[in-house]
Amino acid sequence: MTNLNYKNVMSFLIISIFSLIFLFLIGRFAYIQITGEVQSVDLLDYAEKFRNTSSVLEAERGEIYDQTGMVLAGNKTVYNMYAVLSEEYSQNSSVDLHVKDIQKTASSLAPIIGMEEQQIIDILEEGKEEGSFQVEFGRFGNGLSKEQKEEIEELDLTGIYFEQDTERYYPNGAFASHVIGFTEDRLNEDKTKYETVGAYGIEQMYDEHLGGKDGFIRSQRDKYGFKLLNADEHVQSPEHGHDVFLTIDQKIQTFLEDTMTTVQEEYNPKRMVAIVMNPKTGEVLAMSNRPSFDPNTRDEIENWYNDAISTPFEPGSTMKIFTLSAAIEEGVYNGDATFESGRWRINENRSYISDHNNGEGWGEITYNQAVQHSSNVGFAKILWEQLKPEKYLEYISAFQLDQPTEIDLEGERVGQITYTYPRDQINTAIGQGSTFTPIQIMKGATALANGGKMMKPYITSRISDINGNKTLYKAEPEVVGEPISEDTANQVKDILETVITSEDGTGGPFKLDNFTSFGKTGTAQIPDPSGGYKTGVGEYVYSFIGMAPKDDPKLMMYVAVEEPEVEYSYYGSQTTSYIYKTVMENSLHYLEIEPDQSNEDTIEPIKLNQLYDRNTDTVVNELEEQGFNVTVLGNGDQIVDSLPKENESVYPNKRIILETNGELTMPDLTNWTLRDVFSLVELVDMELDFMGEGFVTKQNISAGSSISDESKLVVELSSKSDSNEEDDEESENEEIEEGEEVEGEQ
Amino acid sequence: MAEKKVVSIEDRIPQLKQLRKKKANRRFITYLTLILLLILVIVYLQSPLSHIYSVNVENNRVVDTEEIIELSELSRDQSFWSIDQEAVVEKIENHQEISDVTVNRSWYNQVTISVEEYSRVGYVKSSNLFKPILENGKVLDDTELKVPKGDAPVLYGFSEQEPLTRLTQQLAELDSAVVQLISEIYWEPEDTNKDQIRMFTTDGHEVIASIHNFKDKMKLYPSIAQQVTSDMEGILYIDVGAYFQPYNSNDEVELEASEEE
Repeated sequence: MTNLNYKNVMSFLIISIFSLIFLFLIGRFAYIQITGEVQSVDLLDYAEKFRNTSSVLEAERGEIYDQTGMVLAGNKTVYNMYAVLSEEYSQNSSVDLHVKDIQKTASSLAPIIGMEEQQIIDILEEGKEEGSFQVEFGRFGNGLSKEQKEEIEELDLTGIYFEQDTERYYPNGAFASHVIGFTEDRLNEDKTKYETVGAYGIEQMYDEHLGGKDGFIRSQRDKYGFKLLNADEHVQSPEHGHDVFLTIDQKIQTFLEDTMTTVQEEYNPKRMVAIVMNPKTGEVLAMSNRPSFDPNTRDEIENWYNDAISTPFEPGSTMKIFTLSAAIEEGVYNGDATFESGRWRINENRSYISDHNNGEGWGEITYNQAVQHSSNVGFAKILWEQLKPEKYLEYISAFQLDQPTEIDLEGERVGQITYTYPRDQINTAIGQGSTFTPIQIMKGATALANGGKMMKPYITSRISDINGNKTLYKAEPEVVGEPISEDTANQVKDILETVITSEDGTGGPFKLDNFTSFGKTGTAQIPDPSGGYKTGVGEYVYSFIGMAPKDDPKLMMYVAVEEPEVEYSYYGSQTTSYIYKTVMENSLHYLEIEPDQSNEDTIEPIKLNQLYDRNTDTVVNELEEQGFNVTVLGNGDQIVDSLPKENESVYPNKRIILETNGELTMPDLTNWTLRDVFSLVELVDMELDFMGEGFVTKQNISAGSSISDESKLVVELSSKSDSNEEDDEESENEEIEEGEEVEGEQ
Repeated sequence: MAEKKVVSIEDRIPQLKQLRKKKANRRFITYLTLILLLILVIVYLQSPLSHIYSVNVENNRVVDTEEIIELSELSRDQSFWSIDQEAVVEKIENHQEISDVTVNRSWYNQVTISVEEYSRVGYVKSSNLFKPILENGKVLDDTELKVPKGDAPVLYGFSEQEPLTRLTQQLAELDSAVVQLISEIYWEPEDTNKDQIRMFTTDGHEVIASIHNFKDKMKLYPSIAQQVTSDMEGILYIDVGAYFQPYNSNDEVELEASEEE
């Protein structure tokens, strides 16, 4: 019984165990059959992958061009170097295919790729010890140019190979870097491969357009890599990226970059922003910031913001353009009305608003002069007494200063309008307190160039496919508002022109040589992190916005320089005026805009009006106002004769001798030319003796004594170089010798 | 038939007599007036009243008024009515320095001669006297002045005629307002540039220029000179380009002369 029992139990156990095992196996098979997954790996995919080999056909990344078709971001072929270490690789070959002489390889490669010799040796030795098949050389071995590759190939080193790759490159280096941006190599989604993707700026924004879509070739192979018969072969050709054309003009951008770099070196400001725009269309022709970076190397990127659109700040007096425009549009501005400048307050309970010359002001001045002087008091009064703060707020909205400009760039930010208390409201009108971005100010100012119509700024002009056959996007200028009338725009232009041309104007240094222009300076205080505003020398944001030519502006430019290292605070505008003038003059000439002003202020001859029988003082005043050098003979109250005579046309640098009806007296002839002396003698009808040449140094009749037709004048003349010679004989002689040498060479 | 009214001749005689008397009277008065008038005319023509009272000369600067009057051959004992205007004009125009003449009678005994002179473009020094050069290039050998007038620059050192002619031609073509600015011109030929001239200008500069492009460069001179501020002393070169070299220095300051564009 026990035996039977024992036997039965044993066989039952065995059957059960095997049954369980089989059940498990069947279950597993059934499971695999149904789900097709083993350890969450899809077997079908796995098999496909195993059987199919595919190679990627890389899509070429689209290029970025400027307005004129110059490449701003392109692709170039580069080579990545690697070294094969495994001896097996040379097994079936008659020549060595792997690195044999590590010392020699390292010493010959080092100078070409710029890597330490020892480092190369370390990499190779280490690889060999670990039995690696091949090693790479990191950033030194990657991205080699064609020339470098050829140089290495000529060395006949064994075991050194290259792999071709394309790399993004930016031919202009640090050039609109914040606009164009750069790419980065990132692992793709299935982490199989690095691909180039836009990481910043336009590169990132239009990454989908630029990037294109890789193609592939797929075929089926057996385990040993042989192609299967009758296998499917897929070829998917790559879709190359689209080309993006910017409104940037390479020439103008270069002018801007160069001048900004010069200012950077000379004054080392904390930050700089500059934008050049076509105010008729809103096209951004150049945009640059400092600190900047070279997108090729991307070393030391100090500032990730495109300050022109992303960094609102207190703009200072350039804001007064909008205050003035609003006041004129509302019909409350009277340029000839006067007010007391210096300091002013709303009432006794409020603090003073002071003019920028420590509240001294300029006495009683007109509102037009207030614009020229950039008087804070003037604009405070315009806002508070004439325009009223509520109305001005409407204009801030009309100029869309409270909203983004919607420029086609990423990262635009809008500032903060502080407008609660009267002081805030006044501060906003004079450019403090509230913050705006440079692009917002430029957008608002386009209204002045377009008869009141405001243009939306944009920077992408079009996107087309790689052959340029198909245009996928094309930007059109867009009017986004009409905050002021054409008449107002013209009036504002006229007044802002005087900021530059008037003697009182703060914009004198911004006067262009060959073009009429108008604009407004700004010197904004910078909030001190510890409260209040900074007060150090040069611790301001110096800015300027201007357009030229005045009647039909072709270019508008905004430039702001923060905290330049200058000796005195009022020197700060040297930086902005240098950038503005250089870029504007060069760009306008480059665009072949007809100069409408001569750089020499076109000195023209002036026709002398009636002189004779008129009051001496009146005539003298009139002539001196015209710039003439006037000599009056005698003290009579009427003019009887003159040389040059009346009705003649005379250049203002000519001396005019007036004869009065009184007793004639001798003028001081020092530095007169012979011809002026002849004229004097002709007028007085006296006798003359003279010696020498050039300019009068001595006269026998002393100045002030009376003269008549019986006098006899004797003068001695000498050229100024003669007198200098006497002072400094030695150096003069040297100079003459050198001068002759130079002439000899010609 | 009605009875005719018959007046006897005897009755009518006194009336006729009176009529005849009236007629004779009138004729007498007419003749008398006529004769008187004729006498008056003869008296006027014979008296100094009909003579030229004064001759005025206008717009002359370099030619003396007396000289012009002399040329016109008008004199005070000449009858105002015997002036042959055309002849006078012709006579005055014979003067080398006068380009145009108009003669007008004014009032009843005055004559106004308005002249236009060739402007003098320069004076050349010969021995110790100065001879004017006219805009037509003529050197007035007969007119020798001890002291030139202030209407033209003085030219020195022109030992050859050819450069002088070329220079005066250009001086004549130049805007007179520009010529006014030149005080003295010296011809200082160099081996490299035979045309080199040195000038002193009334705005206080010493200028080196060249005859061959004198006119074109001088047109720009006022604008170029304006860029040299009065505190700068030196030589302004406008022979090639335009630059300024301060005395005692080899630094050159480029000046713009862009009006040429």
